[in-house]
Amino acid sequence: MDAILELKNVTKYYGSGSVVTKALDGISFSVRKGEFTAIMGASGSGKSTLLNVISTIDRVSAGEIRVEGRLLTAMKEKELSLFRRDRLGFIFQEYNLLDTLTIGENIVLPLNLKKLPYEKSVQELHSVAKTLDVTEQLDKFPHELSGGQRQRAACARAIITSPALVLADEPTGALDSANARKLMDTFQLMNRSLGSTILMVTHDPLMGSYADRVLFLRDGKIWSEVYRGERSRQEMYGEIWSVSAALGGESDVF
Amino acid sequence: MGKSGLCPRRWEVRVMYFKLAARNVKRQLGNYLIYFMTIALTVALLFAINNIIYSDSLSVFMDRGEGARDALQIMVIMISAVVAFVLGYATSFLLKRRKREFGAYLTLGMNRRNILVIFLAETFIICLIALGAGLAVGAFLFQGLMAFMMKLLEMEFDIAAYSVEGLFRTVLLTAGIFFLASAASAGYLKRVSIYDLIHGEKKVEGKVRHPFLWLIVTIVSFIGLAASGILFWHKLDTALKGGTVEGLEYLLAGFILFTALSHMGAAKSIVPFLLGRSRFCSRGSNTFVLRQLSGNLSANSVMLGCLALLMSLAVVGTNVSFIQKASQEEALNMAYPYDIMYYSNKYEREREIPLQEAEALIEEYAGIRQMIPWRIFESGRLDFYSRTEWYEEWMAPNDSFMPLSDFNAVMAPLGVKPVALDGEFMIVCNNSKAARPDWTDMVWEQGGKTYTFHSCREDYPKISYLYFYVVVPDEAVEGLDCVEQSRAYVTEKHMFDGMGLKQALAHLLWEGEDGRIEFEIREYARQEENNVSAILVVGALFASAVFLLMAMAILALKTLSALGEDRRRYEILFRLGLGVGEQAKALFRQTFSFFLLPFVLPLLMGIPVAAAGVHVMRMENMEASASMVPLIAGVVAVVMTFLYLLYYTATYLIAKRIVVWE
Repeated sequence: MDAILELKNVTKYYGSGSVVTKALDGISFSVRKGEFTAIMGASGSGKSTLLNVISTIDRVSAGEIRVEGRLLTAMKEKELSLFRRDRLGFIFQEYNLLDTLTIGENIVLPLNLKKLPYEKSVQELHSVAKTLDVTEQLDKFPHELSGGQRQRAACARAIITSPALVLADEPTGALDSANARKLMDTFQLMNRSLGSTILMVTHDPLMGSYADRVLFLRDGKIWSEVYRGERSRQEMYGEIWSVSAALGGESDVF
Repeated sequence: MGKSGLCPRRWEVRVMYFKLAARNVKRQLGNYLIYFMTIALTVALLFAINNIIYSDSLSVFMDRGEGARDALQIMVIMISAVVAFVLGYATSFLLKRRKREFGAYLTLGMNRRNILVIFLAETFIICLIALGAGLAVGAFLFQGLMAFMMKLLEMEFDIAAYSVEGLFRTVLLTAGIFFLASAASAGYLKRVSIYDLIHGEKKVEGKVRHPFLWLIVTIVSFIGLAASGILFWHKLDTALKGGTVEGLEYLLAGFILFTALSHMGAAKSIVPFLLGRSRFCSRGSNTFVLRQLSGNLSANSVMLGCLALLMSLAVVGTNVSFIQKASQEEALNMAYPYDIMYYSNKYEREREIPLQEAEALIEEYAGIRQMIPWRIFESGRLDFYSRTEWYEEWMAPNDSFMPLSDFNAVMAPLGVKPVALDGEFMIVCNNSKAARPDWTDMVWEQGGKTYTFHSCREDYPKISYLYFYVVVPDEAVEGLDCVEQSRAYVTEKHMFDGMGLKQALAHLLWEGEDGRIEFEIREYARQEENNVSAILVVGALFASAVFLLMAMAILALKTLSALGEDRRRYEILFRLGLGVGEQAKALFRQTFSFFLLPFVLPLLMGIPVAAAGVHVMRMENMEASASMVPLIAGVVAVVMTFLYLLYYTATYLIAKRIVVWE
């Protein structure tokens, strides 16, 4: 199995002494190359914690995380920074574009940080901008763009380094429904045409229905899992609703 | 609880606010550090200078110091006004830095007045602690400054007593500064919208408008600065050669304008220029750093121009005062080659001088080792003066002559080799104008003999107040009118009570309306000059220290006030894979460039000032002082750079703690 991401018994505690919270409780799963996976669950179920430990922003208390076979949990701070820069792409709810940089500068920033030659960077920038339809916006500043345009620019920045894994944290959270759907189309484009492996945290079943697989978290554990298989997006959407209902009405959906 | 048992009484609310303020101060200690340092150092400087002004040890000197106390007091008040303005600015920075927190208070039901009370209570606590710390530091600074001042005045230093008046005035000025700064905060809180308080002003700095135009402004301003310097140099030359200098006020205005404009232009043009270099930008976090700087520099260009001006004045003032002090001894020896000189001009003398009694007084105070008499004769003609500018200006006196034997005798103790004149004359100039005419073809006839030109010298010690005099062979003065029979004295003691001797002689001799007596005492002149230079040096040092402190404080607080936004941006960089070390480097480049821009020119200003100092010293034949000038400029530059780096390091470490993600 060509797994890009592998988690084994990942556990995360917060706090110390008598006040300890178990945010992740022995989670194990893997994501194959080119797979689009969504993580859903109620508030406090451990979605964001899971994304943070995978994205190396937070450390696990126990267990192992591997990306492309490399053991993240054993890496030192400097290695993690380089790994994050070279192998991971990020998309956040609040876009997280640098407001002082133009869209073009924002998108190409990861390549600059990698110290890629100028000509190559420009080539990559124009290529990814064309694919995600942000060429017209390259010289503009983030505040001059709509939410949807900003999030597309964030997607372009996330994939410009051809990362092993794209991590998205509630990417449609700040968008209206039309722009949210457009963004999911962009995710599918990234996944199907560019072969990006995507791990997305969302609370919206509609957005989850775009994924190949949905993991449901509850109390820091994987409670359930839904695979698309050959089903249509509509059928997938219905399945997600059913599982969410079975979660006991504790999902954000309700 | 109040009467109802539910509503708290007014005093309880006040206590609650005060507790909240005290807790905030504790929590915000890092943010308040620069603010605290600035106020404490300002208080220390004010306390030290106020104690000097009202010091009992210096009261005799201050009372007869021709308004020295008034001058220093005015300077202290003016500088306090600058400090108040700067701290007002600084307080509003702090307010802006915490606007989201205050916005949250608003949503909890507080009104703007409540927030102002909390914020003022916080700054009051800081000011109070800073006042205590400042007074403690100031107490040591005062003793140090007193020791320095006493050394300048050549007085014995003993631990100086503190003045109640000085303490009172310091507390009063600090209170004034606090209230002015509070008014600035109140003004900001009244103006700012609740939305901005809660969400922060989401003002994004876009592209700088007309960067090319600003680049031209920068280049033109630098050319203007260089031109002002060259023009000043020429005017200095003219002044040193005895010419009239006009238009200095225009040069000063030009210096101020071009210094400010060059920095405003540079702040608005350098970064856009670098941002246009795509290859440079594509390396690492260069684009990020440049964009950070672009907004910061462009939005603060006027402030940076003003700070550069303040620091330039600090550098120039400190250099000039120290150069003046270092050259004082040599300048004094040039102006007063002998310990004591007695000038006796028969036209100016209205009665007999009791010379024997005067010499007895000199003997008593300093002891007479050697007395050299010399004479000046007049022909009653204008053979020599008719060639000079004074003649054209109708200001020429009669030609003056000194016999060669008198000249050699009066010059010998000063280490001047004897001159030989064989049928020749030598012109000795005390004023540069006298050296301008072409004397080489001059032929002077006297007593049936003809004398030709030997030389025209400007480098002999100045023993006379005449514009110039002509040294001639002894026989040439026969038949001329002896108008001056003066005496030069070499005393046993070179350091004695010059002021006491001056007073004793003044008591013995009749003083004219202008208070002039015929004796010139070098030791008295030296003590007088010490007084002037002590005020000049201490005043310049004080002003420079305050200017530098204020500039550094503004830059530091401006940097820290933007950290809220910077933290968010550095978080994005961290998530994109920029490690701790690289984030720290980016932050260093961002903050150091911001600090450096207004400091480079003032620091470099030491070079032309030192060059001008060397030029002046050389023109005045003060080689020893000329060699000291570069050393002084170097020391001033090193000390200022050290202080600047100290403040920068504190700012950087605070910023790093807040901004860099691990």
